[in-house]
Amino acid sequence: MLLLQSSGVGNCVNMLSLVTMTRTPLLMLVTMRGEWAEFNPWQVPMGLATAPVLAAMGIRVMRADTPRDLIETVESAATLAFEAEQQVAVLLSQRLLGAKKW
Amino acid sequence: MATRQSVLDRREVVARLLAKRDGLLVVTGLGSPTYDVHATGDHDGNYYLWGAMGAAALIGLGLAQAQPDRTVVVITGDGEQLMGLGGLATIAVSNPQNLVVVVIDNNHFGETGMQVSHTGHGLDLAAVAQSCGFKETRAVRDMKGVDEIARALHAPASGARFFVVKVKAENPPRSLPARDAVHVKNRFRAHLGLGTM
Repeated sequence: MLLLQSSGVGNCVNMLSLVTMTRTPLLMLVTMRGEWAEFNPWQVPMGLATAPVLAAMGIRVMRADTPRDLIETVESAATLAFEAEQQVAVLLSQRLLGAKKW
Repeated sequence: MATRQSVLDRREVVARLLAKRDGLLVVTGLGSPTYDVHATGDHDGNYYLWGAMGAAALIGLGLAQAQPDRTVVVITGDGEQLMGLGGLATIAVSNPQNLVVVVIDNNHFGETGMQVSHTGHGLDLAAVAQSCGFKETRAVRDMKGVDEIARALHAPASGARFFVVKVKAENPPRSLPARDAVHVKNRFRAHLGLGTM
């Protein structure tokens, strides 16, 4: 399991070929930036690109926008990852997390 | 700052390192080290990388953590290690006693046309690893030094180790292992007594 921020997805794009080529079960929990009440413009490009980049690398993308979604979505993603042996990312929306306080 | 050329033959170096491999688990970095290790003889305990450049040493870290009773040797090149220098900091913090990183350093990016690499301009990877906190680091330029590393692979250690072998820049005929990563993974898992995945 990998916990990272949306910007970090951009840093590890080619490494995702390791998990798809080796068919390694993987659950990624991605805390999103650059999408909801964002203060820092530098977070925006990768925030926009996170889901398409993951999908382009062959990773299934799911998303939790509300506290109600969260547990069910992550449980479902964990089952897909570790029982169906898939590579799955759950994007934890910035709305769910709350904008970063400055 | 130029560094003097080594005369060591990379294939002879890797063959010497693995001549008595016993239970060693070997991770290979793209490109030439993967071919060098395969050229010594295919082995179920080899985990060949055909991509994910910059990650060989970190894959070794994960394997060393998951298999604490086995010695894991990462054999990679200067170009591949230069792509993942930050990983050395992570490895040194974890500091597994059963992980050895061996960089076959020819001062060049062999896979992309033999451009001079940072080590060819004087960067000392062993010094980088030492600075990160690796417990034992050394760079060698002769077969006596290679033999010492080969012995060290089977000796107890107090933490993660990092060795550099300076070799001459050449591209020997490629010796290509299987590129099917699922096959290599499951063969490696079977070698460890684990089921397929």
